[in-house]
Amino acid sequence: MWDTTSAESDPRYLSSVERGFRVLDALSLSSGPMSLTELADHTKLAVPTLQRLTATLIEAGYVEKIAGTKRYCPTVRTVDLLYSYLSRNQFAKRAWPHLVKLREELGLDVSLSVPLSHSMIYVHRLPGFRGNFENTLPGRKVPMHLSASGRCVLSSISAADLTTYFENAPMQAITAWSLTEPAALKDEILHCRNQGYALVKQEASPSMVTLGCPVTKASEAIAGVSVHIPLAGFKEETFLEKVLPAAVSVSQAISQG
Amino acid sequence: MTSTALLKTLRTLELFQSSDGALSVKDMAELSSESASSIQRSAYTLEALGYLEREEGGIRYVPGRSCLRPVYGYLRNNQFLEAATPYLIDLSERFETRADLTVLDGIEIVYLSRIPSKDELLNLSPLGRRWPAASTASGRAILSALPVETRNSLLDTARFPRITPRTLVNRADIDRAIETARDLGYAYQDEEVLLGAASVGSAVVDGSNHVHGSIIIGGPSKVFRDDAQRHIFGEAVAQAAAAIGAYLKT
Repeated sequence: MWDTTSAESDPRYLSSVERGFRVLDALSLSSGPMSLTELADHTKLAVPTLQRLTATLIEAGYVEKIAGTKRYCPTVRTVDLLYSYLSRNQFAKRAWPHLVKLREELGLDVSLSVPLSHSMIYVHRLPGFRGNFENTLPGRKVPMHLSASGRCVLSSISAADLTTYFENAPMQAITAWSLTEPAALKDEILHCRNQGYALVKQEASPSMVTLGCPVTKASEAIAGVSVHIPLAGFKEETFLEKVLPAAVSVSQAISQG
Repeated sequence: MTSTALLKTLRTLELFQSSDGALSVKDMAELSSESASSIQRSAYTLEALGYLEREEGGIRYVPGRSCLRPVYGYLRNNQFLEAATPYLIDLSERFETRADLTVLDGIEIVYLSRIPSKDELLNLSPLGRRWPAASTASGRAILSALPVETRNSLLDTARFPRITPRTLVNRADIDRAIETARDLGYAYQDEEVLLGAASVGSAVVDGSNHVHGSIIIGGPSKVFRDDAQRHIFGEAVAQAAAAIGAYLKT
């Protein structure tokens, strides 16, 4: 579930493909166009390798070189990849109208995320009535243990798998409030298991509180529905009273079995 | 100086954009000109990296969740999208309609943002959905804002497929719809993409006359068929588009 080490030794594994996607990942995480030197820092690949990979990604249409510079950025073709997922994935399609209804009902930012290695990645993000730009973007990754939905997913795995997770997952903070001690995080995850939802304050986004509810298949949490609210004006009791029943009913509606 | 394995593998992943449903390795080999063993390696690697997933644990593949990764940076660093987002939310709230944003790529429009509304059954376009520009309100708005030579050279290469019985398929009719959009400041389509659904769109043009894309509001046809109501919608998207364009100038 957590890594591709065994795949890498398989004769069918194409390492140049992994490197190409590593370049796309670095460009996706960057706040602007990147030079080959910057790409080398972020991907740990050599410049000649990067020259070959960027040339391939340009030919395939996913990357462009900004005119008059030596810097690279992703193109609109990356949106086609998103579409190929959203249009084929029955789960993502089924969830959408439920999320639209939840957003209408609450007027708050609503999202759906799924596990990807040690992260949760946003599939759908619906901005609330006062939502900001950042909260409209799919494809953002958040470390699983710092995400409300991610804590729901971690709360459904066995103690042994949880130990393996903490042995392998990177533990750096992404905000000043992120918990980074496995013991404290395990307490939070246990708490989430007991109460059936997770409330995360500012650990993934400064000044935001997120409620996460698990979407399950059999007894495994396969995704999470989240509702996001600014910390300013947040009152836990009234928030839970208003939001929890609606979020739980949507997460159950898109759960299977 | 390119990586053949990477290029072949990206092309393999793209097979899902031009076909329906899940695909087995055999299906993929038939759809491409590659050998089954080459496809096998591509599919194996794509699955290991999460770009393909098995459908229901079987032998057929669908695009996997890693396909969500590369888009984030493109969207987040898109100044047009960032400038337009508050306007989209405002339009959607004010008129209780969906509000979307598209850009032109070749002769197609691509959805980059969608603020949903209650009439969600009338919005079957997930992010990244492409449509022929000439058949959509947003595409016509963008085409109407481009220099005539550019517009004509784009339309000269385009085909005009009949998406619904009401889709305009004749170049003269399409030219006329684009001219009307230019005169009004907004474009309109009714049931040309989806029966029962209409939309109005306006192009976002910055101070140096660069056309960034279009914003649209859409909803049930019957609401848009009322001339006065449609004009209110049209004026609102045109004003919002102008405000976004003015912001992008700086």
